[in-house]
Amino acid sequence: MEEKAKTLWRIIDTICGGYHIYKDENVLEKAKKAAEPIQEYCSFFLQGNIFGMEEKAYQELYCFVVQTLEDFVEAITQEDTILMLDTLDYGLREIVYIYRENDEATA
Amino acid sequence: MRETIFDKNLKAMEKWYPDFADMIREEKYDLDDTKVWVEQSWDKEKIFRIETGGKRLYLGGKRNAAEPVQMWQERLGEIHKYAPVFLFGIGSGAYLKSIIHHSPKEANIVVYEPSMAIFLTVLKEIDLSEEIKDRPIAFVIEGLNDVEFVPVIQGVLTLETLEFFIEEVHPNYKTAFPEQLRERVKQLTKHADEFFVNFYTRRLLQERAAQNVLYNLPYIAEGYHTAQLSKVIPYKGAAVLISAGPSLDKNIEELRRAKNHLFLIAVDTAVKPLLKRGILPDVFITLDGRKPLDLLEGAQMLPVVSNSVARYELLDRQKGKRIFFFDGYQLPLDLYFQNDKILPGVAVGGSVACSGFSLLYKMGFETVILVGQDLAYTDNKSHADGTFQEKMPLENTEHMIRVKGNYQDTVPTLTNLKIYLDWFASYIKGAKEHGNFRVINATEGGAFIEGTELMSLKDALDECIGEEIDFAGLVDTMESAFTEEEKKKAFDYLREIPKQFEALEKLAKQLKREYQKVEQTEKSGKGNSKYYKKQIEKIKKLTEKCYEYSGYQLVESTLGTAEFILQTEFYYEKEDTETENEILQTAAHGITYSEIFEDCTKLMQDLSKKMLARADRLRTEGGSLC
Repeated sequence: MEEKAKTLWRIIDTICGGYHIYKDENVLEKAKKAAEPIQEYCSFFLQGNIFGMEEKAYQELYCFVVQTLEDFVEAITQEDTILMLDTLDYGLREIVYIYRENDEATA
Repeated sequence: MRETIFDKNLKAMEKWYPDFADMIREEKYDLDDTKVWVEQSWDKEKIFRIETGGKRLYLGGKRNAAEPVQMWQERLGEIHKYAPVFLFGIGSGAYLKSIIHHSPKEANIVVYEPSMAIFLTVLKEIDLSEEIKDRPIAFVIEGLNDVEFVPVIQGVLTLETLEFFIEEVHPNYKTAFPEQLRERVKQLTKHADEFFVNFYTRRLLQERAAQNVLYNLPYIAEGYHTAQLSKVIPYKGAAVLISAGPSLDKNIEELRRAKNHLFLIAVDTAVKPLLKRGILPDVFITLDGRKPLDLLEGAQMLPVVSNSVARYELLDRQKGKRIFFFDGYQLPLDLYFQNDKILPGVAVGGSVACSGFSLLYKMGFETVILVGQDLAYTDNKSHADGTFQEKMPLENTEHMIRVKGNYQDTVPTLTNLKIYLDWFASYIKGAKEHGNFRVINATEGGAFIEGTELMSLKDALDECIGEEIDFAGLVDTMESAFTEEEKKKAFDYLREIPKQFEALEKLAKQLKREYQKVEQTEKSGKGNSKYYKKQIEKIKKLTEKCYEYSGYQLVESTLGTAEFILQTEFYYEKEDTETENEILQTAAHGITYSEIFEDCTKLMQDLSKKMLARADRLRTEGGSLC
């Protein structure tokens, strides 16, 4: 999962940084290409509370992940660049950070 | 009753634009069918979500609405005091608020909003009153005051502020309102590009413009012009315009076959590689006042079609006929007016090929075959081999814009070439509307020109070549538009030109005195509005008097560069002097301008006297002045 988190972190940086810093507006196309690793990574959190978390905390995480995936799909369907950037930068990045954090701690 | 956000916004707005505010109050607008919902983002900002064209789109971040706006502002960097800023789309108002907060109060901000429904929601939901009460923000709203868009552009984009120009489209607006955005951005870009190209082309040509125009006048007085050329070329089937694009290398040899069958006109830069292969165009065309002479080494015997501002040293060397067209300068036209005749013009599109193309159309050719008209960096080269260098180097084209290619999906090009490309497309469209006009693009590479047929040069020649005609011989038979008596009249007019500049020198001195009077009066504290009004009238009359002399155009075009330098410096340095007395500043600028103006008239007197010496030599010795 750490490797997947690292890859997704880089993808988010490329898409969101590309837009905000270099005005690269090709956000939706790039995001579509990343759909598979995103779905794969997020699904891991939806298979049940295998993390030993408190049930309430897990439910919150579960809802957060589901909302992120829903918004990702909605952004693609509606061709909504703002929603996509927001979902990647402030939704997915939070989820990716869980394993990125572990990775950073062990580095 | 508590004042609503809507009332506060309109109140702040009406300080600057009362009619605009009234139109909104009186609901004099067309409301579009965009649906707008107001939501709150997770970071507690008011954001809009809209539905238009079957799409639901956010106009602010659902989780974090504030940070993307901050990042956008960081990307824009420091905004210059006199920057014209165009914001396409008001969105939820956050980007507009940010740019108002992060730009100096003098920066002109123009907001174009394609949806009246969104604009009304902003007025009702987002309190902009603090931001707009002290800033005249120009709002152009589709369905309300959209007719103002072009006048606003023209008012805000000026020569001095062009380099600080910023254009930003609100995120999601390209998806929500593609048609409106495309149209408006196109109008803005067109205006900015034209401004940019016209200004720099003019500046480039103007560097030696006055000297070239004056020194070429004796040649113009000989009376050869493009309509006379047209008279001696009876065949109106097909002609070939040979340009110096990199693709010329691919089919230059084939042109040999066209000689003495089709009328061949080459742009100046294409002449060298043609001569190297023994292919003589029937005429070549030149416009550039700084054209390197070695590009036309060996072309002395060829007839040249030229504007008055073309490099005089080049025309001096020519033994072939010098055939002129009107390019906007008054003095050459005066030579014809003396004899109740006119100097015909050709269209100007920025490049010599544009004028060559227009000439062929005006000469009445039904078909024009384009060769070497790449308007792009085909194979990463700027020009054909054997032009500026024997082997043209490969250029880095990564940073260039890309346009549809003739034989490739896209080809790299530069902004100015893209403008020429658009010029060709629009000229061809116009020509076709006026009758049968066919353009075969036999450029074997380059950018696709709308309205042209793509064909190899071989196929084009197979189709168009007819009987043998000695075009060069026909050009030799061309006669002057002037009789001997008319020529004398034209040369007599040349003798009066130095006197024009002497008169202008006197006017420059008078102008300086009037500005000095303003300065002294203001410093002594004795000035009043009646006095200044009188002075302004005097200065206005003196300026109007300058325009009575055709030679003033040359002074003005030379001063154009000086004026630009003065004005730009003024904009760069004004921060330190903004509290100074405006009357003193105006007077100081007026004095400086008058001094440069006076110097310039002296320079013109000197040049026009030298021109007279050239005219005398030409009259007595004939031929050329080389």
